[in-house]
Amino acid sequence: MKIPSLSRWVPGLLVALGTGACDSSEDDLMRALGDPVLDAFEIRLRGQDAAQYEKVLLGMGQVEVTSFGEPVRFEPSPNARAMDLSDTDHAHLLGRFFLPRYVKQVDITVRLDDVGAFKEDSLAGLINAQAGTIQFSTTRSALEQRSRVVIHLYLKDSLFDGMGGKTLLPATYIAH
Amino acid sequence: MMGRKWLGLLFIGAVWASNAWASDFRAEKLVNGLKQYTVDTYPETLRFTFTVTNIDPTLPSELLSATAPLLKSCTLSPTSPLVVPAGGHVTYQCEIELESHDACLTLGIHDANPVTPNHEVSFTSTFSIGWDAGASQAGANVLCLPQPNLLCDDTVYLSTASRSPEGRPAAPSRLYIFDPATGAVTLQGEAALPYNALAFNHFDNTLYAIASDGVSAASFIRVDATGSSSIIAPLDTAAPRSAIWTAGAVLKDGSYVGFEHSTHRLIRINPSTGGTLSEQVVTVPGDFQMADFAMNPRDGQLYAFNNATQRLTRIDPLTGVATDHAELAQIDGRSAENPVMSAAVFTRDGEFFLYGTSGPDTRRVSGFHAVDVTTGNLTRLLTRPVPQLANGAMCGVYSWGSPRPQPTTRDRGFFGASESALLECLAYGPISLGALGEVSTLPGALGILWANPAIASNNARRTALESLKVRTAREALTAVCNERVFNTRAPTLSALENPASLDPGRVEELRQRLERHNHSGKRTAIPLRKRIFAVDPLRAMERAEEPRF
Repeated sequence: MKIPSLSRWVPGLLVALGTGACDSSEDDLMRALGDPVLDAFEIRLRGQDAAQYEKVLLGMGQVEVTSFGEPVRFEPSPNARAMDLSDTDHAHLLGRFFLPRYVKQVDITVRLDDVGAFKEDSLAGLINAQAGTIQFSTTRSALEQRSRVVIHLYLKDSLFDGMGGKTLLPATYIAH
Repeated sequence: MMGRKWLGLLFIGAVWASNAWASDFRAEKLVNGLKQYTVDTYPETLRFTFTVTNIDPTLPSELLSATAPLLKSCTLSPTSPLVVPAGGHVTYQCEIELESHDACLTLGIHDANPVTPNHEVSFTSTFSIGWDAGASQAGANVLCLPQPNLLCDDTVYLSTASRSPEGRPAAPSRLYIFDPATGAVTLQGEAALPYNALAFNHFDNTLYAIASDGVSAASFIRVDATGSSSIIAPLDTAAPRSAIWTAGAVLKDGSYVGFEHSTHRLIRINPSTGGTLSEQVVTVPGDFQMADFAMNPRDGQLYAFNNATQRLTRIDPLTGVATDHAELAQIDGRSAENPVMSAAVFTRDGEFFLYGTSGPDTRRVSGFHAVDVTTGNLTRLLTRPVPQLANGAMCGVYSWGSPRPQPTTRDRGFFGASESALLECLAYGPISLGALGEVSTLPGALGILWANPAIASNNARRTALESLKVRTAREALTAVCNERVFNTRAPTLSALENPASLDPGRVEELRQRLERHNHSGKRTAIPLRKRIFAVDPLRAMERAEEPRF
């Protein structure tokens, strides 16, 4: 992110080396590479500022990717079923979307499943994630830098005490 | 040779980057200084604060967009694009006037949160920023209540005042709601007065208290649902200014009684005017330290824990005579180690509960205890590492004709985390979900409640219809459990009757209705007689079995 010019050269190297802490789903990738007119881009979710938590479990509810209102194919990843965001070293793969070459801009809406769980000071509790919707727009040129977009969810600022547990109001930083 | 080529590319990239903008912003948003703010009087001005911070310590960044779509009347000035210096920030302020409760709910219809307005959040306002290589968002919730009055149920109110450097009560005071079912202590708001002796009046569903700091004259005050306070009248008392009033309760006739801890004065007040009805000194049996008391609706007496003698104690509010229980109080059948009970509440059914701490100095824990007023013994119901809180209040008398709270409901998370509640639900027999099957076991019910709508537990992706079935089954099961456990009638599941022709449109409509229903009574307290005092969602998730539809 800090060296955009360098990052333009890096995607191939990253694919060759793997994505470090990130997981991958080979079948999705192969399917994408097998289609000559589509480019695959990942959407990942990563916890930040999670020191107070032993566990923060959230699941993906629904992801919508559109371009000027037209739906773009999105394939969810099995890893998105239950993500422990207290592990801040790990960017969980929500899934991949497949962009036709002519599409230059997309709108992305990530809805987290409405109930999650946390563990803090050895005690577990519920997370009300009904307001856990993250919306943003991005461009092909930004996506092409690293072939993925990572949503950083700042847990310290996103979770606060609510009725019956914690309430999630996403405070995010979205990076390519 | 290859290595040198890559090094060259890295060098060129580094030089290029040194001339570039940084690309790290954070958005923050608060409403009246909080992430969630409650409004209960109208009109009220909401002050939104949006902050854009360039979190890069060395490079300036160019902000390309900053929007708060719901707050159309706000102009975010200075307008983007604009350059924010390294480590710098831009703050936008926006004020909107909420004219009425309905105006607030209208904002909830137009916000980006699909489930607002509801009984917990009226609207969510989101602040979004963008720059060339990323975006950031932050949100704030507003809850609008129709009127400032609270409702008479088993809600446990706890309050605490701050401490001055000399150890005297100081502002701000904070009002919390304690949920014994989940152990959550939720801040409702702050008051600019150091109050204590909190009590709930069942005639007007209002909290009253006495503000005293041991220096200035004490006042009789009202505390509203948002935690803010207003003075009704200066306290007309013979107690000196150094007096600190600690305990408060409301008698059956609606009069307020307060207790001063150093002079042992008991004052009775007319809550409408703040005028003193009577004042006397409590006749105590010996050592006497009491932080709070509550009125037993069965006999009209005040009950408390005497922290000096470690016994349950009873005070006659008319004669002022205090009587300790004959035996030392036990907790869970054993002698308690230095128990200090700070908050006392009686339910309308005559059950007594104490909130306080016990244990050795190195391992003291806060707990919520049921008290047997006959034996004087305590049973610990819940232990949580929550702060020591000073005072408790609860609606203690059934008052016919007063507004009734919304029937109690809880969402799927609650039933998916409270084993005792789910077992009570299943004890009535198998749960029929029509075309979606039947549930009769705990792991089966947990499997439905914790099923992910997008991915099955075997990692298979769900189709749109499968996802709809999961989301509907979760809400249908929850609605049935709300009916069985809380006696809150569930909507009919007619859209699920015919397994051969499930109409996705009708099913989605039903799902939304069920979801609204399951959230409609979440602000109403679970009756304490239900004895639901623990949730553990993580353990429940482990026991869940994937459903088959």
